[in-house]
Amino acid sequence: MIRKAEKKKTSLIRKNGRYGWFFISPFVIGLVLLYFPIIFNSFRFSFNQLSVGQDGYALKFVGLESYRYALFKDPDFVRNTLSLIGTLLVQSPAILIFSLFIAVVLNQQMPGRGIFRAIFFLPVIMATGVVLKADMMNAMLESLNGSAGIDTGVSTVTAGGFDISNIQSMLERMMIPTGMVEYLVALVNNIYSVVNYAGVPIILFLSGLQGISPAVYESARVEGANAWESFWKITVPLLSPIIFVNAIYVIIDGFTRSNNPIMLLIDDVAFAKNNYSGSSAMAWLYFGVVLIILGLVSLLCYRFTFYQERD
Amino acid sequence: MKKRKINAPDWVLAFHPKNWAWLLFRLILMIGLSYIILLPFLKRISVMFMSLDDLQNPTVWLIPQSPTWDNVTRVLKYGGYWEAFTNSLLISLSCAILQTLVCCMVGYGFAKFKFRGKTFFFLMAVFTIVIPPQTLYLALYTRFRYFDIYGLLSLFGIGPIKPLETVVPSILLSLTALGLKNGLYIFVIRQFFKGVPQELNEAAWVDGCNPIKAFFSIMFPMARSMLVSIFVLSFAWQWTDTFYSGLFNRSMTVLPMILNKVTAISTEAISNGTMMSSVMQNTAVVMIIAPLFVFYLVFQRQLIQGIERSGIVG
Repeated sequence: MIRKAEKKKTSLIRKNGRYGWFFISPFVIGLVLLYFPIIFNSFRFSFNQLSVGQDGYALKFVGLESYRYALFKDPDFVRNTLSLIGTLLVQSPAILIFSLFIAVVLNQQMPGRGIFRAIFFLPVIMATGVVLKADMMNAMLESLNGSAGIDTGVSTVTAGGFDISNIQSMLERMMIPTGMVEYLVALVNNIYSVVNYAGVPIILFLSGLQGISPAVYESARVEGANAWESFWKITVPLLSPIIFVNAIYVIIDGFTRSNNPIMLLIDDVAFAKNNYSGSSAMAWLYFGVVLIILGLVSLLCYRFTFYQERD
Repeated sequence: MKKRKINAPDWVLAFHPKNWAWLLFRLILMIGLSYIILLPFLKRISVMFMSLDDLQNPTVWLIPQSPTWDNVTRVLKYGGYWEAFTNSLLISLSCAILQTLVCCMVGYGFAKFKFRGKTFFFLMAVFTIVIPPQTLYLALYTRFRYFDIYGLLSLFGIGPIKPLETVVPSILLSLTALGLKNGLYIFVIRQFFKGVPQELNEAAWVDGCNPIKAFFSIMFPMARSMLVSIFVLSFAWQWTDTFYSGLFNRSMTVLPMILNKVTAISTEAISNGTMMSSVMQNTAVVMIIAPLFVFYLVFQRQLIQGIERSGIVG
């Protein structure tokens, strides 16, 4: 009797498999009818000279010319990509460590916890799209005219607000390696971005922390572990899957943010210089770079990720 | 000795001398970081009410000496604020609702069914997250400027449609889960449904409820708090988005676009160009995100709880 019910169940799962197609059908239709042609076109534009007319566009095949343009002729593309990778290399680990730290602190009882949580998430909602654009336009106006625009406070909370060169030289005199000091200085200079980009990671870490049963900590304490040890031996391993997800999130977020120099360059090449194919080629090269970096990071993270149960 | 019963809330215990130093440290840290986040917003609001005199006076900080509504009225008048507001509300609301529903369906399909080709399409969903939107900018533009589906529409004599000046592209993208950051929503929702025991599904199926009905009557209501979060994020990101609004709505003004409009007008018409256009931009930005702030205040608790409980485990 039980066997029969079991059998009925498995066949049901198999039979219901095709309902899966029903549920993902909007996405599949979109992919086939909209997304694939768009991807294909974008790829095609990078090999062709594109001229937009009134009722359509014309393509002239130029081969790898625009890739050559992006790599060797454009003065900014390679340089900006490398410097962006450098920035993100500094920033991403910092965002991860920072958000883990904040999440641990916020997870403990304290007055005003809800308010702080809301404040940390605020940039995710508010400091996006149009706000970033306005910041940029303001900075652009300033540099263009050599006069001060208005002070929106962004510069107050970044490096301009306080002088850290003294601390820097002090640290260097304390025989702390120069590389490390430079890293710390870069971090302090970037504190505004770090705090602003940490909203989502903080919330994800918080959710992970709340999923760890207090009994685990309890038994560790009974066995004589102190807070430091239980952080490294319990919290970090149990959170490692979330650290992985967050690492990927932070990297993608950093690379696809609309105010990063490459995005601006791609826009600029397409619409200010009317070099559509050059801009498409840049976009695809950039995508390749992002993909490679994501692959490397995933490989690295996967080795150090601890899953309680792998499926 | 009789055990003391403690009725005080937990955080009062934190004031025990042993804990107060740590608490103080945490509070100072949190307040400091909150300052970094909030100061730019406060500054923006204060600059919005400043007259030119205030802006040029170095002793004025945060509190204007002669507050004025001029900037606000200029944005209302020259930026076409209310029209843009209505359009934005319409588009953001419809897109957010559609995206939440569609992504929920798709995420559920990826989480709870076994069928061939699933892995491929899920990889495609991840691909849509990873690819920088700028990569597709031109292709999207030409796609919707001369809209046709593999030449089928012109074959039937409907001719190339030009939906670019309408809401059609945004709605189409939302309906097919290809809109702004939709891959991310699919991923999060899939993660949520993976945490829901499969037995719950099977029980419904064995009892003769077909999966579509089971989804709408059991799973969908269960995911409510998660879906509220998705809805809020979707709405907010759509509201401030400059990418798709610049691409699709060139004649139909939405809020993010009044930024350019205001800049152009202020550099032309009003003297003292640079500073004035900065001020106008700033005022426009504050007025764009002000409704969003109210929205955030209302939904903040549910938003954060929804994401916290999403059960994302990698």
